[in-house]
Amino acid sequence: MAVGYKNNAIVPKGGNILINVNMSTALTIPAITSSNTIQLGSITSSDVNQTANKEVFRNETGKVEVSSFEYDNVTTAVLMQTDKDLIDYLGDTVKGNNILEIKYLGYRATKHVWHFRIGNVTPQYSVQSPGGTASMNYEHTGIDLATAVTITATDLASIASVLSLSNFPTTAVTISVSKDFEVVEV
Amino acid sequence: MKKVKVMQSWSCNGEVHSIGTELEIDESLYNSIATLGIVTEIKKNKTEKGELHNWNTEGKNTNSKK
Repeated sequence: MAVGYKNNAIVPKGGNILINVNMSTALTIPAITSSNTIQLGSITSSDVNQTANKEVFRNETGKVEVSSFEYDNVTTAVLMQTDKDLIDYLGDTVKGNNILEIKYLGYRATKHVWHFRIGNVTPQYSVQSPGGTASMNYEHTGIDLATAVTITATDLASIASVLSLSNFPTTAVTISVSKDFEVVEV
Repeated sequence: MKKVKVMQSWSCNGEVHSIGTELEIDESLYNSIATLGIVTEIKKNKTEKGELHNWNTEGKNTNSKK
């Protein structure tokens, strides 16, 4: 599909599915189990983004000769649950580990859209009362991959099975070194 | 199955394959990564009699003298 006018791609809502696959300290997809592959529950809001800080270099006339960018790949979300398992996971389990994050962006342009990125989850939790349904802030920061990572069809089938997902990708997904993320339509 | 040479460091099936590694992968996996430049197919070059002449990654005769 090419960039162009797609009225059905104007969608205000998200997919309400956020998945973490704990890769430990390695950059390999582990054998998928219910221990290392989890859904983080319902989400009140989320933001999956890549931002770029721009630096411009001007010649002595004051005009820009070149520009340079520094990229940040971050997902933030506000989770609705505040149970012990989630607090333990966000507050401790994620420390020092590489996490494959899979975010269901929702249904747009007649496709189910899934976003894949590898990075680190900020070890933090917040349980506010009142307001506990919108206090648990989640943050995942994508890392610069030195190795292309393929999530095989077998891995994807295992993830879908462990988490009872539907409309999940079935063919291998590769996160390339140059992009550091991959968006898949199903 | 396709015989391929790894052109970029590549993590797949629980292993990290370094540049230059040769391995066999199934066709659907090859098709999903072929355009990313992660691997290149190693082709069998056969003589007109059908005998294996050499293997290479570019389809060129690597046995030729310079």
